[in-house]
Parts: sequence; structure tokens; C-alpha cells
Amino acid sequence: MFSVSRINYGSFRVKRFLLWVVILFMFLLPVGVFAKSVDYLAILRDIDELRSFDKADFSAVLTMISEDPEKGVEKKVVQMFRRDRDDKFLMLIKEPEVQRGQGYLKVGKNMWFYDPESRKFSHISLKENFAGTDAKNSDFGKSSLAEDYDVISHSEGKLGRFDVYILELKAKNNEVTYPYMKVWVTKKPHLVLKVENYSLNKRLLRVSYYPKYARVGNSYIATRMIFIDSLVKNKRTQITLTDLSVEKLPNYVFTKSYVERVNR
Amino acid sequence: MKNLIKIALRNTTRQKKRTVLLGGAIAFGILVITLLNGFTAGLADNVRDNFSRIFGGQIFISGTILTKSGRPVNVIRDDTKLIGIVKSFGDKIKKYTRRSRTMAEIIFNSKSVVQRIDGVDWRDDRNFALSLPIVKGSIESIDKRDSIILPVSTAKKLGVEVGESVLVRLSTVTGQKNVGDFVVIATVKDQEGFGISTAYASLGYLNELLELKPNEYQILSIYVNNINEMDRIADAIYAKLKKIGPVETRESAEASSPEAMRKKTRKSFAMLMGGGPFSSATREKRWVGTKFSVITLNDMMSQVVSMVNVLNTTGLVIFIILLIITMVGITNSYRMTMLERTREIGTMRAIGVQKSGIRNIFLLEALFVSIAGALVGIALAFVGMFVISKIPFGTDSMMWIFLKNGRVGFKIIPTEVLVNLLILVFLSIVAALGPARKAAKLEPATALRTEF
Repeated sequence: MFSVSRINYGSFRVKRFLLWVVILFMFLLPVGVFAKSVDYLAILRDIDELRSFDKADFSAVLTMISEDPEKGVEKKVVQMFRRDRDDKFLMLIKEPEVQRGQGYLKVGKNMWFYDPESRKFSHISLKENFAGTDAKNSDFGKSSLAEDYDVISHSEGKLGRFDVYILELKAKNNEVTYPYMKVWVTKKPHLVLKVENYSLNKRLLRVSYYPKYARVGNSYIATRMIFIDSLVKNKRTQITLTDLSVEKLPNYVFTKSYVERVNR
Repeated sequence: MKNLIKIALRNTTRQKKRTVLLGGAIAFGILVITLLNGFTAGLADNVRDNFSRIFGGQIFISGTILTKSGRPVNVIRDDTKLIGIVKSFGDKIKKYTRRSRTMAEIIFNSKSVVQRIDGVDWRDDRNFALSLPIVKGSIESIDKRDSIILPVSTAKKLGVEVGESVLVRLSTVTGQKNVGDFVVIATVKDQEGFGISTAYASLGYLNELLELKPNEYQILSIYVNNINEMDRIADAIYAKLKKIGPVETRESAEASSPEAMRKKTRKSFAMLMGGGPFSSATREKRWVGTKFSVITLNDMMSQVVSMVNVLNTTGLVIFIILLIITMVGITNSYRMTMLERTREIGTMRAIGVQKSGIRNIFLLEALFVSIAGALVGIALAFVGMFVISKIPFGTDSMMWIFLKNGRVGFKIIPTEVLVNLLILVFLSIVAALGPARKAAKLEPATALRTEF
């Protein structure tokens, strides 16, 4: 009996304790869940979505200033056309005169370079640098961070006056240009402000800054991009976008024949 | 006959100036064609030798596999069967070496140069290391994993000295960016003018950067004992590889159209320069396992062969023109000789020399002049070759690839020289035949009456 009463007494205290725990847990759970519920992969998806023009075409004029310790300062003016829903883009060089008419056409997984001098197209890769600048061809197309990368670590911090998520990414496959990346993303909306690209053996290869964005339709486009080569000292490219438009583009724009005849 | 020969020999010395001019023309013709033939044959050999040294072999076998996503990757993973096939050729194969190859950006301070880098298994290819034309530094520390040997021009552009460190930025076989640290241990003479200068690093470290395993590689380079057999051996290797798995179609150099050959040359060259996989899966049927491709120096040299053919044809045209001029000269000379010697011919005929004897004297005279001229021409050609081959053009010259150790190399093909000599002698006799017959037909009495 003694033991029973003791047991009853004990069980009451335990029950009361458990009740408090449950109540406390129910209050704290949403906070805890919320605190841990930042879905970083969703942030990547959001970045991709915000940077893409899936519902409209996009065109702009890009002014590229490249600083190279050997070549000096070079300026390029490029007309860009994008149709993200079909995974297409076209970059036509307007300046300098010696490169005028050169075109970079991407249709799905294929990408070609057109040389007006030889009047020939040659297959190129998205991984190559664009026209000798520090930007990659892939920097101008549709963003696919969520598809290509996993978030391997994350933290929060400040970049200038912006509160940011700092995400470390690792490539899901061995076919993307940069196996590792570190991305600084603003909290709302999810805009990429800075990217560090690393090699397979985790050497810093390139740092990119996206200090200015413009809202075009439902999307955001970085109107200023700075790419700094981390291996070659004092080598960088700054790109400024002007004449932004989401006007519908004719289908023929994304064809080889257009690239051939446009600067004839 | 002995007398006829004596008379013919004496006659050649009677009009010395004329004989020298005639013989000189013949000598000049054969001099030009012998020099040109020797030059073109030497040129083809020099290009072949130089390419062979640069690329480390004469037959090259590369392998391409497909990744899960269908991307072609240039790698030979398991070479057991391949080596078995190569070994089956016994002593026809001098040696074979395994190499990896890539185009990479070499960076030093704020300068960078795009450069082809060969990964060499130095333990396996010691002779190659010893044969490198070192300009600065030495190959003492060649076995260190981060050692790199740079072409002089690249080192100059980068401003890097032996002992200093450089960065190498490259793409792995699947296209990911990677970076390696290297120490420059030596600089070598390069052939930058032809865009084929090569830097050399250890196979193991380059493989690591290319994301290949230590036992994997990209190109099996084969040296054959007899360079003339390279295509036959390559065809035989191709046939054996075809039996064990997928192979890139190999067209023999003779069977291809010029356009196909040009495409093939470009493709072969791109592969050998580290320009990515030889086979592309995007436009072709997919395959399982390693798809091998077999190419030879001759596949890449089709343009050089065309150039040699053009030079030979040009030489032949010049030779024919010179022959025609010489034949006209010979015909005219013997006509004049016949007129000058009409009374002498009459006398000879009067004392009993037969018509055929008169004809033969003329023909023998032409034979002696042409043989003497041709021999002098050939001798002068040999002297010319010797002198020209002593002139140093330097290994930095744009013409490097056509030269042998910086000098023009000639190759004498005896059968070619003999054929040219026989053609010349035959045509000289044909040219003299007309006047000789006319001389033989002269009536002794008429000839004796003739006065000039």
C-alpha cells in the first residue's frame, strides 16, 4: 500500500510536470520550428525564380569594361536577348568595331559562337569566358542554382548595410563549372549580392558582386555586375545593363540565320 | 665501235664552248630537280620527325567514355586489352608511353598564358626527359609532383624564372574548374610559331588536377621502329580494337576526300592539342565502355603531304620546261654541228664509214654530253645540299617544323635520282636523233662538194 501511495503521489507530480512540458513545448514549438524552418534550398529556388524571365522575353544593352594588367582597359557594348522559358539567349557584340557582329547564341544545351569574318559558327561551352572578359557565358542565361547545387552550410551576417544569408554551396554533379560556391543573399527579396567561386581543390577563383538591381516585370535583374579574377591580380570586368525591356521578341531572333544577317 | 666512241669523245672537245653550254644546261636542269626532290623528301621527313618528337610518338590512341548524363570524357581507364594488342606487334613497336594532356592557363603574378600541358610519366619516359632541349634549369627534380617545364616563350611572357612558382588554372575532364601550384624547374626551346609548344608536368599531379585516377590517362603514344609502317600498324591496331569494343571510324589517308581529310586533320589536331574528346556523343550514337580512336602523324600531316606534292609537281614542271629548252638546244646544236662537219662526214662516208656509224657518232656525242652534264648537275646538287644544310636557321624560326635541328635537311632518294638521269639521257639522245639521221643520210659526193 505504501508503495502504491508513493507511486500515486509520484505519478501525479510526473503528470503535472509532463503537462507543463507539453504546454511549454506547444508555445515554443512554433518559434523553434520557425527558427529552424529557413529552407535554404527554397532560397536557391527563389533566387532562380527572381532572376529568371519565364513569362516574358528580356533584352538589354550591356556595357562591359574589362581591366587586364596585360591588355589594359577594354570596352565592349553587347546587345542581349533572353527567352528563359525556352532556355535561349543571344549576345551580339556591337562594339568594339573589330568584334562587331560576333554573336553568342544559346539554344537549349547547345551554344555557338558566330564569327562574321569567317562566316562560320563554332560550338562553344557555357563554361567559357564571354569574349575574353571575366564573365562566363553562363552568367547571362537562366539561373539554375537549385538544380545544380546543394546547401552544405549556412549562416547569417551583414554585407554592407544589408542583412544576408551566407550559403555555402556544393555542386550536385561534376559537370558544373564551379564545384563550390559561397553566396551572399539578401533576406527579402532573395537577391544575390556577392558570389565567391571555388575550384575543385577549394581555391578561390572568382568573386562576383551584384551591387545594383532593377525590377523588370516580376523579375529582378542585376544592372551592375563586377567579376574579379582572384588568381590574376588586377583583372576584373564590370558590366552595366541599360535599355532594359520585357517586350516580346520575334522568334527569329534566336536563330543562326538572324545572327548571320543582323550585321551584314 | 671503239673508234666511233673515240671520234665522239674527240668531237665533244672540238667546240668546247658549245659543249660546256649544252652540258651546263643539262647540269642545271638535273641540279634543280635533284635539289627540289631532296628538299621535299627531307621536308616531309623533318616535319614527321619534329611532330613525332613534339607529340611523343607516331601513333596515338585515345579513349572516350560517356558519363551518366551522356557527356563524352577523354580518358583511358583500363588499358589491359589495349596494351595486349599493342604488345602483340612485337618489335615493330619501339615503345609506348601514357600521357594526359590539357589546355590550361598558366598564371604568374598579374600575367597569364594559355598553354598546352602534357602529363608525362617520367619514370616510364626517362629518355624523353633527357631529350628535351633544355635552355635554363635542369631536370634533376623532375620526379617531384609539382615540377613543371615551360617553353621559353611562355616563361618569357609570364616573366617567370626557374625556381619560381606558377599557378595553373584548368578544367577537369568533366569541365569543372581546378587550380594547381607548380614550380618551374626548367625551360625548353619551343615551337610557338606553329602553336604547338608544350609544357611538361608529372602525369600523377596533372591527373589529380584533371580528376583522373593515378592509373588513368588520356593518350597512349606509340613509337614504331619503321616510320614507313606507321599507317599499316595503326590500321592493324584499329582492326583489333574494333573486335573488342567501340572505335572511332578510322579512314585511311588515301581513301579520304580532301574535305574529309581536312576535317579529320582538324579533329586529330584538336585532340592531340588537348582540345577535348575525339568522339562526340551529342551527334552520334551512344556507346558503352571506352571508345578508342587511332590516329597517326600522317593523318595530321595530310596538309604537309599536299604541300610536298605541290612542291614536287612544281619541280617536275620546271624540270620538263628545262628539258624542252635543253632538247631544242641539243637539236639546234647538232644541226649546226652537222652543217659544220658536212665535208668531214662526206670524207668519212667516202673512206667507208657506214650510215649507222655516222648516226652513232652523233648519238654517242649527245650521250656523253648529257651523262657528263647530268653527273656534274648531280654533283653540284650534292654540294648545294651540303652547303645549304650547314646554314643555321635557328630553332626559333617560323620554319622550325620544316627543319632538322634548325637546318634544312635533304633526303636523297637514289631511285629518284637515277630515274631523272635516265629520262634526261634518253631525251638528249632523242633530241640528237633528228640531226644524227640527217647526217647519216648525207650522200658522200654531195657532202664533199659542199662549201660554207
